[in-house]
Formats: sequence, C-alpha cells, structure tokens
Amino acid sequence: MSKRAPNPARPAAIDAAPEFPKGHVDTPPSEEALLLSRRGLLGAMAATFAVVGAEGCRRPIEKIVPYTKMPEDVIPGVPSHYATVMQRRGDAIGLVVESHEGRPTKIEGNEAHPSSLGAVDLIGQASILELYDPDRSTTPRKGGAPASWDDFEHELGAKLGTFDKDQGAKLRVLMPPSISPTVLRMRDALAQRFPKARVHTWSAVADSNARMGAKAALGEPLNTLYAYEKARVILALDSDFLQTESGSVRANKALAAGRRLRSAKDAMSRLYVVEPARTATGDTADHRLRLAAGDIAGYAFALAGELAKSGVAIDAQGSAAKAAASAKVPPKWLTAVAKDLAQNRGHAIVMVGSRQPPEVHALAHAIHAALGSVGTVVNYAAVADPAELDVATDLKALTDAIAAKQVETLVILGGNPVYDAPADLAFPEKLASVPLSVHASLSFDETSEKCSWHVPRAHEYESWGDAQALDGTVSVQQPLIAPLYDGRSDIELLAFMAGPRAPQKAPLDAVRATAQALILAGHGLSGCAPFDERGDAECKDATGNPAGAHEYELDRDWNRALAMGVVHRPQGPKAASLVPNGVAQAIDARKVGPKGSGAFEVTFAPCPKMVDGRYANNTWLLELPDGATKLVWDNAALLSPESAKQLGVEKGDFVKIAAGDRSVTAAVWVVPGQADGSIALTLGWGRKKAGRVGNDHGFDAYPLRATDALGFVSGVTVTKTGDEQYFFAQTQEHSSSENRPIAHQATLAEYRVKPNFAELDGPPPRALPLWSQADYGEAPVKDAHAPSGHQWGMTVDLNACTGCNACVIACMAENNVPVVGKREVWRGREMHWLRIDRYYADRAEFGASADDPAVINEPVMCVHCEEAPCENVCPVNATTHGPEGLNEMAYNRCIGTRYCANNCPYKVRRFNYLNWHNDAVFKDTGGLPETLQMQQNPNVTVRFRGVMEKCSYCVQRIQSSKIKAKRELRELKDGEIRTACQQTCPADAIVFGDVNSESSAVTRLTRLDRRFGLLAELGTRPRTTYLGKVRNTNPEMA
Amino acid sequence: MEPRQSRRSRRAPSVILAEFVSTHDVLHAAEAVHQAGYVRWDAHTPFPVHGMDRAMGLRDSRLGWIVIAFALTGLTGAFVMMHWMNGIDYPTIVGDKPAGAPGTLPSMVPILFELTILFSAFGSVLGMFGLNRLPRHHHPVFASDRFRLASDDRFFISIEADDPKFDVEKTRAMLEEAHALNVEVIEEDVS
Amino acid sequence: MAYWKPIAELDEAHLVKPASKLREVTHEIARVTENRAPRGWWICFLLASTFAGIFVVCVSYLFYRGVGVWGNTSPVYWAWDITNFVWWVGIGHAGTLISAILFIFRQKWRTAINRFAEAMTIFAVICALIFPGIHVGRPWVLFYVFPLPNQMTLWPNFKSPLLWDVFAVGTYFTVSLLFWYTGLIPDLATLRDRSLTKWRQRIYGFFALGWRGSNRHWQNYERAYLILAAISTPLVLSVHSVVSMDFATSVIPGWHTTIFPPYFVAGAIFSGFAMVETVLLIARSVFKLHRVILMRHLELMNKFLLLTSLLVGYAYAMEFFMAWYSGNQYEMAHFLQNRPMGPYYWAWLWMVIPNCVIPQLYWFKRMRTNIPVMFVISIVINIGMWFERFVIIVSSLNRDFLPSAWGLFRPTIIDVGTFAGTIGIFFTLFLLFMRWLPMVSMTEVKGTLPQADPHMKAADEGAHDPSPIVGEQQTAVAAPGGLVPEGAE
Repeated sequence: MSKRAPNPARPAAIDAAPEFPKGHVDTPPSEEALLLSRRGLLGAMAATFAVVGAEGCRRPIEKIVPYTKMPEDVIPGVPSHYATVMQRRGDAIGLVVESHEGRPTKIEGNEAHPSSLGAVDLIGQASILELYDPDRSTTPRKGGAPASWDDFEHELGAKLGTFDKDQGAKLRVLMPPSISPTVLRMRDALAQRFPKARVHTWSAVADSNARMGAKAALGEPLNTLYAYEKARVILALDSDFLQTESGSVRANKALAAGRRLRSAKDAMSRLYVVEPARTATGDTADHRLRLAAGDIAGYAFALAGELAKSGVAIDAQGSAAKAAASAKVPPKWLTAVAKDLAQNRGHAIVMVGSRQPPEVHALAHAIHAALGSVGTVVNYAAVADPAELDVATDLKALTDAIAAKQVETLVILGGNPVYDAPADLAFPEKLASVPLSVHASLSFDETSEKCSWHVPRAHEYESWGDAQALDGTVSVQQPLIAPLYDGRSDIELLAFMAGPRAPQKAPLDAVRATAQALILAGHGLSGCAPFDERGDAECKDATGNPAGAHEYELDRDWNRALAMGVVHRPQGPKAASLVPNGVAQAIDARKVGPKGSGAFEVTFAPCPKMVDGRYANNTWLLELPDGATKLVWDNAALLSPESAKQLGVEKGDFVKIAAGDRSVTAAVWVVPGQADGSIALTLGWGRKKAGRVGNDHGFDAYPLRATDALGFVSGVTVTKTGDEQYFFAQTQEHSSSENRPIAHQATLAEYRVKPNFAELDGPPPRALPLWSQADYGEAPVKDAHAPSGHQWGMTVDLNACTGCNACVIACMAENNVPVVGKREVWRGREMHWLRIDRYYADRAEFGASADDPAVINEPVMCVHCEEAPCENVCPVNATTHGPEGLNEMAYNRCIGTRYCANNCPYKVRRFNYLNWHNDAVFKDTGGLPETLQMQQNPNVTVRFRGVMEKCSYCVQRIQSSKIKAKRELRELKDGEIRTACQQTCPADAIVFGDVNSESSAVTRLTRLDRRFGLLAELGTRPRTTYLGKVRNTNPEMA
Repeated sequence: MEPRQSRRSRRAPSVILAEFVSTHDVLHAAEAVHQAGYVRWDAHTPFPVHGMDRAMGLRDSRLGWIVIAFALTGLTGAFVMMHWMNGIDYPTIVGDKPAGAPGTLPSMVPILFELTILFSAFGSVLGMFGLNRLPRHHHPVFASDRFRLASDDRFFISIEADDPKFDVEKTRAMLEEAHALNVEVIEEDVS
Repeated sequence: MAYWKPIAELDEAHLVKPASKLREVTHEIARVTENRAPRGWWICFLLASTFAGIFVVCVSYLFYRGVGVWGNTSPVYWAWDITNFVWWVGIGHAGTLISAILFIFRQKWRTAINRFAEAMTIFAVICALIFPGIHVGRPWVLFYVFPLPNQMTLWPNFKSPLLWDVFAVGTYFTVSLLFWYTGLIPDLATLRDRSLTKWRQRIYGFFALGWRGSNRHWQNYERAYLILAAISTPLVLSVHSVVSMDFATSVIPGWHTTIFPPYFVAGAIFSGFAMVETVLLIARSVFKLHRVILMRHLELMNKFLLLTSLLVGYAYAMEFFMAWYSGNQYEMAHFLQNRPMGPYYWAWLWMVIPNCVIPQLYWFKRMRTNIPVMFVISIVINIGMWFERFVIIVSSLNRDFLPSAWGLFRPTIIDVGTFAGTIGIFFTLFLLFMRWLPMVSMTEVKGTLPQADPHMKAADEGAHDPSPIVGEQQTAVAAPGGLVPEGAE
C-alpha cells in the first residue's frame, strides 16, 4: 500500500447543484452545493468500503469512515448523480452516473456535453456492467502468481533505474490511442525521463485512416465534425456513423433532428448509404447500395468524376478519374447521387468509413471543399494527440523492434494485443521474447497471460482522468466508487514510470493541474504560478501584468467543472483548407490492398456489442440481439442469399475462410442486404480468457486480419467444411411483416399526398365498447390517496429509430432485467422488456427487393392498453390498471398462470420460467455474483421465479418525480419524467409524458398525422402511439 | 352397540322382523301391515321395489324443497360474493370494465350457475341423509343374523315394539299369514 | 341371541353356488372384491404405479426448479400442461353423461357401465386438476385463486375465465364424487353384510353409514339420486363450455371462436366415451365380466362414438369456414395457413384423421362389434383428441398477431414424464377401485332383473343358467314410463 497525499477535492454531484443552467459554466455554484457534493463522496466511499471491504483501501485512510453517521445529502433510496466522461474510440462521451448509497447503478448522458447531449449509446449503457465484471483482476500477478503492488513497483522501478543511462532505449510502452490530456502529459513526462524510449499505440478499432486522410488533404490530422441537422443530402461510404464510428451518439441526435417531420410540409434530409454489410446506418438509409468494401473506393472516385460533370470542380480530378472503377455500380448511383449532391451545395455531406483507405477520406475532404460544405455542414477540430501514428504501422514498428532484440521492457497499458493484433505480426510469439513485459488490464486476459507481469487496471468509473471529445471539449473523469480491486489508472502507472519527471504523482493532482491550465487558458490567463495546495494561483494576463490584484479562484471553477462535467470548450471550429495537390498525391500513391486468388472478400467491422472484444464478458451485451441478424451470444460469417447459393451453404453451416496462410473457420448466417461476394465478420468474438460467461462465443475474426488488411481483405477463398451445423439462437425468427398493418411506412412523396397514411393503411375505427368506460381521472381504487389527473402515454417515432439498441440495454439496466443465456433464448424465453422488431419490406418504391430489403425497426414494449386483454384474464387481480392509466403488475400477487401473456396481442409480457438470476448463465458459477448485484436498481423489485413481468413505463421514475414535485409544492413539469429508454435514445425517437395535458410534448406528437396505434383494431386502445416511417426517396433513383 | 346393562336388567322385544323371498310377497305383506294400521314399521329390500311406497302408504319425499332452498342460497351467495368482493370491498380497474353489478353480470353467469349446482348437490345428499337419519350404525334389526341377506336377495318387514298396535303374538301371526319365510322377534335390554 | 337356524347356513351366501338370480348378481360382482386379485390385475397395477412414480419424480423436479423445466416458452406460454388438463377434463365427461343423462332417459343398459364411468370421471378429473395446480409459476401461492381473505386484502378477479374454471371444475369434481358415493352406499352395505372379517365389515360398514335397505330410505334416496342426475346433466354440459371459454374469451386467432362451447362438449363426450370403452374392455377381460358387460353395450357405445365424431368433424369444418368467411386476415392466416401448413401441420393431421376419418369405420356392424378393432380405435381416438387440444393451444399461440414474436414450442422430457405420469395415476386409482369396490352397481342391476318386478311370481330357487345377467331384462321389463329402452331387440 503506497502513501498518497490527501485529496483536497472530491467529485461533485451534478444534482447537488440543481440551479446550474445546463450547458453554462459561468454561473457560480452555491457554496452549499459544493459542501454537499464534498460529503457526497464521503458517503459514497463509506458505503463502498462497507460493501467491498477494506481490501481496496488505496484512497486516503482518514476518508474511510464507517456508515454510522449518515452524511445528510445521502438519503437512502434517493440517488445522487455525478458527472464524468468515458472514452468511446476517438470520442469522449460525457456521462451522468446515478449512484445509490455509493453504488453507481446507471449511466446516462450529460446534456452539457457536446458528444452526448443527454444520450448514451448501448456501450455506454452497458459499461456499468464492465465496472462490476465479476472476473476483473483483483491483484498484481507475476508469471500468473499473485504478487503485491510493492513487489511490482520495486521490480519495475529497479528496471527503469537501469534505463536512465541509455535514456531508455530499450523501454517500450504500448497503449491504445489516448484522448486524455493528462495521460498525454504523463506520456511526455515519460519521454522527458527516457528520450529514447518509445510509446506505441495500438487499437484493433481506430480512426487512423481518417487521420491520415485528413493529414494528406488538410496538412494535419483533424477531427471532422458534421452538422447532420443542417445537411440536406448525406452520402455515407461504408460508414456506420450512427453506430460504430466515433461520435455516433451526437450523429444520431443531429441526423434525427434533420429528419424530424411535424407535418407533411416539413423537409427532411436524404441519406444515401453504400456499404457491404447491413448496419444501423444502412437500415436507416433512404437509398442503400450494397457494394463490396473493396469496390467502394472505386465508386467514390467515379462519383468525383460524375460530380465534375455536374459542375462541381474537385481538386485531384484527374487522379480520381484514373482510379475510378464503377463496374459493379448501377449508373443511377453515379448520375442521380452526383446530381443530388451538386444541387445541394453547401448542404451535402460525404462520409467515409474508417475501414476505407486514407485516399478516400482525402477525396471526401476535397469533395466537401468543392461543394462548399466546409463551414456550413462540415467543420474541423484539433485532435487530442497530433503525434498519434497509424496504429498498424506503429504496432509493426514495435514488433520489428522486438524482433531486432531492441526491447528489454515492454509496458502494455490496457488493450489486449495478444488477442487482437494483426495475425501477420505474430505478436504473441514476439511478446514472449521480451525479458520484462507488463500488462495493465481490467481482467487477467490473453495478453496478461503472455506477460511476465500483470497489474489490475482501474476502471474509468473508479479513477481520476479526463478526456477530449471530437470537437475539443475536455471533461474530467470522476471516480464514482473507490477501486473495487485495487486497480490503478494509466495516469498513475505512467507517473510512476516517469518517476521524478512526473509533474504530479497523485492522479487527482495531475488531472486537476491539466484542468486548471485549461480553465485559466479559457479565461485568457497564462503564466500562472504552479498549482498550489490551496487551489489558487497567482496569474498574469496575456500582457504579463498581474491579472488584477486578486487570487484567481481556481477551486470554484474546478468544482463547477466537475459538477457540470465540462472543463473546457474550444472557441469555435478550427479553420483548415486543402493542401494544394495533397489529395491527388494521396490518390496516386494509394496502395491497393493485396488481392488473393479467391472470389470473396471479408470485411471486418467492430461489433456494435463487443467493439474489439473488450466487452466479451458482459452478459447484457452478449444477450443483446444483433441489429441485422437478431442473433444473440454469437457472431457469424454473414453471407448474402446469392453468395450462400453459390457456396451451397445454409444457416449454421461451417465455412473455412482463407486469405493466404491466414484462415478462420466460422458458421455462416444468411442476411438479405449483404453485398454479394462479400462476407462480414464482426470483431471481438471467440475470446478465450474473457471470464466466466464470455469465453468461446462466436468466431474470432482476428486471425484473418493483417496490417495491410485491417478493414477488409479481398480475394479470400471460402470452402464449406461440411461439419455439423452450428447452433444459433435468435430473438426474432420471422422477418416479414406478412403484409400486416403493424409497421407503417411510406415515401416522402406518398406522405405528402396522404399525410395520415399510417391510419388509412391501418385498422378501421374500432367499435365502441358495450360498457361504460372507467373514468381514470377519479381513482376508483379503494385507497387511491390523491385523485390524479395525470394520464401517462408514450410516442415512438419510427422515422427516428435507427434500431441502435441503446434503449434495450438502458431498460435492462434500469429495471434489473435478467439475462437467460443462449439456450433459453433459443427456446424463446428472453426477458427484454423492450424489444426492437425488425421487418423487411421489398416494395419497389423503397428501391428494395427480396435480396436487398428495406428495413424498418419498431421498438415494442408494453403499450399499456386502456382495455388491456391481459387484465381481464388474470384470475388473481395481479395485473390491473392504475388510476393514471398504467397497466401495473403486482409481482407478489402473481401466481404465474401465464394467461395474461397468452392473451397479450403484443407478446410483450415476460415470464420467469426459472430463477433466471441464479439458475441461468450463472447456474454453474454459484449464482449471480455479488458485484453484479451491486449494479441492480434498488427502486425496482428483482423478480423471483414464477412471476410475470413487463415494461412498467419506468413507474419508479414516475413516482420519484411525483414525490419530488410534491415535496417542492409544485406541478410536475412536462419532460420531467423520462423513461430509461427515452432518456438514452440518441435519436429522441421515444417521448413519454402526460396525455391528459394539452401542452405536453407527447400530446402534440399523438396528434401528428403519421400516428397509428399498434393493433388498435383489437380495441385495446394502446397508450403508446407510433409515428409512421417516411423514406425520403429520390425519384430519380427509381 | 349400546353399553352392556347389569345382569339384573330384563329383556323385552324391540322389533319384530319378517323375512320374505320375493318382492311379490313382501309387497303384499306390506299392504297387509299397512291395512292393519301399523305406523311404526318399515320394509327392507336390497333394491327399491316398485310400488312399495304406495303399498306402505308413504307420502311423497320432501327432499325437493330442501334442494330448492340450497340452490337459492348458492345463487344469491355467489352473487353477493362476487359483487361485494369486486364491486364494493376492493374494486379494481380491469380491462376498463365496470367493477361491480350490473355491469359485471354477464361475467358472473358461469360462477352463479356453478355455485347453484354445487349447493343443490350438497342439498340433495345432505338432505337425504337428514331425512333418513343417516348415518346410523346401530339399529335393532342389525341384531338379526338373517337380516344380512336384506342387502342380498331377501326382503324384510320390521315392526317396532313401540307401535301402538304392536303385540308380539298378534303381529307375528299376521306376518306369518303373509307368507313370511320366518318371523323373528328381536329383544333388547331395557332398564 | 342367535336364531335357531345355524349361522353356518348363512355362509352359503358366498360359499356355494348362488341360490337365486339375485344372489347370483351379488356374487358375480362382489366376488371380485372378495377373492384374491388375478395375476392380470397385479401386472396392470405394477405398470400403472410405476408411471405414477415417474409423475412424482417429474413434479418434484418441476417444483424444485420451476416451470422452465417444461418446454413452455414465449409466445407459447401454455403447452402440454393445459393440453393435458383439457384432455383429462374431457375424458371425465363421459362418466357423468352416462350415469346422469342416460339415467334420466331411463337407458337401463347404462347399469352395466355407469359405476365404471363415474369412477372414471372422478379419476380423470383428479388427473385434470393436477395440471392447473402444477403449471402455475408459484404453486405455493395457488390459494390466491380462492376467495380467501389474505394479507393483501385483495380478492380474485371474477371476470377471469380461469377463475370460472376453478369453480366449474371444482364443482364438477365435488358433484361427481357425491353422485358416485350416493350410488355406492347400498352396495357398500352389501359388501358389509357379506364380509367375513371384522375389519372388512368395519370399513365397509363405516362407509355404508348403517344403510339397512329401509323403504322409507329408498324413497328419499331415489329422489336424491334423481335430483343429482338432473343437476349433473346441465353441469356436465357447462363444465367444458367454461373450459372452452378460457380460449373463446381471449383475443388470439384460433382461440377467439364462438363455436367453442358446443364444440368442446362434443369433443369431451367423444374422448370420454372412447376412454370408458378402453377401460371397460380391459376390465371385462381381466375380471371375466362378459356376462355383465355385453357386446350390445359396447356396440351402443360405438354408435355414440360415431355420432360425436361427426359432431367434432362438423366443428372443425365450421372453424375453417368462418375463418375464410370472416375475411379477417389474422383468422385466415391462422386457420388456412398456420394450422394445416404451418410448423405443426403433423399435429393437425393427427387431430383430423383419428377424430374424423377413422371412426367412420363404425358405420359397419362388423367393426362396431369387433373387440380388437374397437380397442385400438378407442385408443387412437384419445390420441387424436389429445392432439386436438394441442393444436388448439400450441399452434394458435405459436403464431399470433406480430410476426416478430412468433416462436416454436419444443417439449422436454419432463413434459413427457409428467403426462405419462398422470396416465399412471389414473390407472392406479382405477385398478384400486376395481379391486376394492363393486365396479357394477349390484343394486341397480338387481333392480332391473325380472325378479325385481313384484307383479310376477318369482320362484327360480337355485336355477342357474349361464345366460347373461343383465341382458334379459331388456326384453322382460319395459322401462318405467312406458318407453322401451333404446336398442332393445
């Protein structure tokens, strides 16, 4: 146990200072608020240690107080919320974390943060389970055997000591690309101590191509910011910008804003997507072209030429023309698309996916410049780490150095290169040859196994840190709980290695120093006296004169920044212009990836659930149905029906995919909409040492990947192995809507002619009931205390929904929804309260066909029918209506006849056939681990075996908001209550509220012309209203 | 069986039992006894003998009235239960339907019917036991060994001693006259 | 004090050849409960009780882990459990029908089989009641379905068809039991009087309630029996109607059907008669009851099977017609596509062929009177009727409104074990009944003999001809009320 300086500051609770107008950092927080927030962590830590035990006491001893005197701001049952931030690929997402008596339980977005705007994606939602992963590493290990931090510090420290003379020539550090200013500062400090040492970056999923493209076109690596909300035409080239690319949350918000229809007169943007495999983005597109990833560059160049024809002069025209190859592309996709882009100068965006080579990205910059989109819908921002190189090259440099015996000590901070490094580098073998190798990671994984030392790494939610968002906004990452397993953050480890050169030792001090420098810079102050313990600074202004006679109150701004979750915002976008001839050179110098003899190509994409494999032990994500295939607990080699016919394989058959000497054997799954001749394999599956539930699911794609083929590899040979079929489990086995009026959609033209197409296509007006309707207003229930005028309802806008699945995970996290495991899902017993139905339509008007269907996603949860069929049939009155129109379940009354579920036309009721928490995936490992129990929401009953459950409209949130309003003697405000799915939805597709109030948002939405009630013809009078989907199809594409 | 009396207690005839071999005989014997004006007597047969009721001059069974009473109890009971429980004591909103009568009457029909049936069934069985004073495991006639054939293929007529017209000799004579296979006087202890 | 006649002479009652036709009846039927059980009985009993054991094992495991050990899933929340329930209840119906309705219509041939049928009703309903009991997720709070005061001060929901079921089937069981027991009392008295051992006498005596064949008792007894028969008749029709409402009142295509009540009743009687026949044929051969249970009775039952088979067939046809006629796309998708061509088409065939096609053989007398044929057919019909319920329940649920929620049901070994187990329980109870209780009503049979008629002089002491015991009354006695019993040649 190492000695630390006491921490002068604590994380600040965002809800401890309610009077902060969100998005503003200038209003000072009330002293009381900060006081509260100080004690906040006291209680938090106390509770934590009470739970975790003194094992993790690395935080100062004197702070660890028993929970005998309750801190006054911690009222049991009333959660506090802390702002923090998490790194998602190249972007940082601001978060607000709900914490119950010191247990973080739920992740939400931070409205003040530009990359979140209040929403989170499914990974953000599920990351709380990563914190509580029962298989996280609990102790440093030497050669696999438990050791102590002191041993480690002693051994590594001694080793580093020996490096000082040769300036650390034989020291290497490998870490994923970082967007944390403090980490980068510490890295520089390390460089100061060991000038010859090198820090390499590697991540299986990175934005290197985009950076290099920007470098070629604009002279420096820059982040591109797209204003989708202002765009009229968006062309996405192999870019899943709504799901897996950096900045997807903001992209969802903005795109939805640009496509929101309030009436038939409104305009919406048009989205073209060209991609090899189905993604959330492609499913949302108005026009989608399935094209092998290898042909997309050719198409892009051809399109550039086509644009020139329509009068858009593009830099590097000639080179593009040379490189053009559009054989496999329907001509309309050149002419009509080019025309559409040209007609919308200044409002057109061409996105390029991170999988595509740099020259295509460069070309996109040129096109934007030519279209005049720069400054209107396309802006640039500085990257966090300009020094970052192409990850593949960088990792290759490392392995080459190892091969050349130039590496004595390799410290790997995070990541899992043994599992995910390109196969051609033979990283595991090379790693074994390094005398001293250290791996800091959350769990003892494949890489830790191969290293001589493993040390537990602190999770983002238990350590101090910071992160810079795409647009340059910097936020502080607050620890919400003391490290569960004595882990340490990269900052600490780098600081330790930097030794004397480290500006600060304690991570909090380091983060705070970074933040305060930014704060001062933000105030035009510079040259401040070094950070001192009082949290104040003597500053001079730009001219070097003392900035007034006062001591600048850093503490105030610092605490405000903590509470708000935003430290520093950049002043506007960064200006950038094309480097003359840069794009042309990039195109001419392009390397065409190796082409094998085979007829197929394999594309590698980060799995929307596993990303690069880091979430393989996350049960929520494992059981989350994949958007395109609805498969759970597996990935698969995705084939188009045509390719399947060609190979003579069907769902479940095994194929051997070989690229040169690299090969993978995987089971296939046939997906309409997949490009012919292209096989999609998502990364992150087939882990071997992920944890008790995460091992050996799906198929590992990494053995096929090479440094020159990170995105896709062409010319692979595919052969059927003839092994026994693989056993897949799906949550939705039937994809056709059977022409039933259940998911209405129309083209924009049709919508303009027939604004209420959804209802016209839909059911006839229902017959009036024979009995007098119960008046929900006056509560007929015996002991309804205050008669309530609230009537809860919801709308789901199918036009906004991209099927990104964030709501599904949010619902699981909020409502303690159990996970049942692959076999039970195969039986059909998944427990998701909220499911996303996905139907294929092959209407020609949508430019769709049976092999390339148009997709509509329809989130379905309990619609809270006013005339609920489930209630009539329950023999014991276990499900009845509340006075506010909620269809309620009394779990302790339910005897489990399952009659209600039979009689539910929506099949949204879920039954606990077994004691899922203990008798399913954790059956053989002693039941639901304690850490996972720590995640569960104390405001929601954990259902026992034998009872029925279903969506409750998050009744616990409704009640707590009502109580809050009552205590503050005021009416509930519209939008004050947000269901878990609504709050996290990045597209704002879900709106909840009081349908009794004329002014509420939900009431206005239920009156839109696109509205329809799902299966309303049954006379159920659902409280959830759907809004039909509109496709802005281009007539010229028809 | 009754507790043994002291040795000094004297014995007196309690019932006189006549055995017949055929329904024909017993029926006519019954008619004779009835005409002789006996009131406290009975016929015992292995199965209900057609016309015996008339021969014995019995009035029609009153069981039907008992059953009606039970049936009505069941009917009203069912209605009161359902209306009070769902309509008055703890009304709930179920499928937007009214909580109590009259709105719920249609949904009450099955249970109204079933409980009526249930109660009448109990009425008829318990009523029958009541009218027949059953169960009664001891009865003077069981003292006779031959009486065991009464549940097999023999027919009996029993006349009780406390019948006003009872007289051991006369009665026996009358029964033997009526082709009784044999006549038996059953005595029992009287204190 | 004993009579002068030596008591030994009384023992002729069951030692020597019966002295009278009446006594012959008593002897013929009572001996089964008095002699040692034949080997056949033991074989059947061991077999049956083994299956009953399997049931205990399966249900213990079910209670230990939960309903999930069955194949039930979403959307098929009900599967074998409720299928078995409906099947068993249906089987029960024939019992009450035979004893009550045929009694009211004075069908004297019923006397040969009504005791059987009633017993079968009770055991079948016991098996049926097991399933609602064990299929719920939390059996330990099953009592919530009864209107009992509880800590939640909450009452059952009387609008729920499931609750109607509780009352209907509960009433049905109670009434059948009373009916059966009432009918048994005089026979129990007979067994009491014939018993040689003290315990036998005490036990039968206790349940005989001191019955002494008093005519004043007979008068009320007959009236009670008549009333029970009268109220059982609407009851038996109501029970399966109510069961059918579990489905008919729902919204699911394939369930939401107004034809269900009569359709279910017809089906119930159909399967019930088949089961009676199966059991009757077994008992007849095991206990050599050829002189009590005549070919005439069996043939009559086969005619009845033919009739009910036609009724059921009509119901099937009408369902299809209405689905098409309604024009409702969900109904059409269900009846015209999912059932005959969906994933459970084979179950549909198992429903149609045994229930509608095979019974047509009974148009031919040679088939109606052929014991092996009728034994096989009676079993095939019961399989068919089981599949009818399976089709109605599972193949309606597996594809309802939203295609996204469609799914398949796949049974587990526990499903099979539980079902097979109840069959074991049924036959175990039945064999015990046949062993210890008079399986034909002695009283009623005697009552239908010529000797029972006081208007003809009976003097056939010792006369013993092997002619059927029950048979001749058909010719001899015109049924009271003047109507000649159906099928009396």
